[in-house]
Amino acid sequence: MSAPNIDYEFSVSIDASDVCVRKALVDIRRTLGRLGVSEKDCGRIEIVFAEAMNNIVEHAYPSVSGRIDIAVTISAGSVHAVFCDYGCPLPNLTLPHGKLPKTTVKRDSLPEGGFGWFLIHTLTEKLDYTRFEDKNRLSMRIVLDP
Amino acid sequence: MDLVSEQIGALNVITVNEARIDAAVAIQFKDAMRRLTANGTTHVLLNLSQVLFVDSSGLGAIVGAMKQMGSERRLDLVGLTADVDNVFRMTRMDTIFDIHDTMETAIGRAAG
Repeated sequence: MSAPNIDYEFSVSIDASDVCVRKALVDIRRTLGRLGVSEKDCGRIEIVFAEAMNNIVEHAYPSVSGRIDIAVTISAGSVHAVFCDYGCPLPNLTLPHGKLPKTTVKRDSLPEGGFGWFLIHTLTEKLDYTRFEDKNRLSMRIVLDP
Repeated sequence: MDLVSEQIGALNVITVNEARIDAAVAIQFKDAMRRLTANGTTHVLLNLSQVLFVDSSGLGAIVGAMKQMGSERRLDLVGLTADVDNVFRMTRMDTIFDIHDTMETAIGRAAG
């Protein structure tokens, strides 16, 4: 089921909305599956892409509509992904740290959010964010299981 | 959202008949859970066997559903599919919930 020899690239542009993100995730997963990427890797990729795009919908375009451009390259056993948007920059132009919220707390204080960046950091390598003019660019690499 | 609540013995079993609990439906999910757990049954079992994908919003909504039940009641989970199980484990949320493999063991344990 491993996919070390796939060489493929594709790009998708979507409206930055929850519903369009969902549809893009389903489409991308279908494409990856067709290319022979394992179910396990597809699952890891889907959660990373979901968190990256949810973050854009929620924070880059909090009250305006906008676009997300996604470029995916599969090569040499890894997936390289770039997400671009034209909304608000990340605070301080810096990637959030992605620490896991504390779960050893009383039930009333359990976290209901803050997992997104943790999941992205955990599952990716070479995570990078740049702001150039009015464009946010988030790039990352996900190594496929050999 | 298509959620179905069913009383099995002392258990309120809520089955999610959806493939995804994600940012698009997280709020509806939490609202539906509030309605379906309003009868006050102490022990609620959430059947996720048809759910193939949960993102951090969905995860937060499941935690929220438990919190809104109050501290005297219990929300257990059953039937986590592979990707959902992974998200629970990575975020350590598997330590917060009692998670059962099958309905049979979940119901058996509640009865016993």
